[in-house]
Amino acid sequence: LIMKNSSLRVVGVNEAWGELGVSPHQLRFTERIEVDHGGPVPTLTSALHTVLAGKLGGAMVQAVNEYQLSVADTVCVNIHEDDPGKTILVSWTHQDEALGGKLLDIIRTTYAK
Amino acid sequence: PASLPRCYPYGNLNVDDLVQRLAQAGLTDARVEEHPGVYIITLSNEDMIIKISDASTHIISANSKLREKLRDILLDCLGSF
Repeated sequence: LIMKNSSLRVVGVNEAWGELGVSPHQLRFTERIEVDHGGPVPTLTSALHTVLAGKLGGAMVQAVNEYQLSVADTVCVNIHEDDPGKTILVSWTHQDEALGGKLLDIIRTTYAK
Repeated sequence: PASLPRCYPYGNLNVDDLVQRLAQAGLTDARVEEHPGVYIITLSNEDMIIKISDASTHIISANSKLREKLRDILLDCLGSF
């Protein structure tokens, strides 16, 4: 909602940036979750894909490769080999805070040490 | 709906202002490194890294509570609508 020259208008966010003459500042968050998992990384990636698809709906979750999932095209989930176990990195922007938080909850509940 | 962001931050982040606010919040071990186009703030005790460039800031951590605290401090430092 923009008020300019005593008139009120509803505009899209991208249009509003131009009208206001300011540049957006992107906030990105990455959270690291250490998990106990003895098998190879692709097995964990695949299992995580199944868990997330079950909770969020299959259309939301895409496999990018054997080490990476994408959720709703915006949140990135990376799985790394660690010694011992694995590390899952969940990365999202402030605009996807609700989804990012939900993913952390699901992953922590399912895998946390 | 809950999925909508609460606000849209804008502008540049003032690193000195941020470090001061971190200290006020009890995070006094901030180490600031300046590289071309980017500042990196390391909070070793909290196992947290903050990368700041002109139009973006990236927080990397393993602690949700602390990340949310940092997020609120950052939103205070930036303008938002």
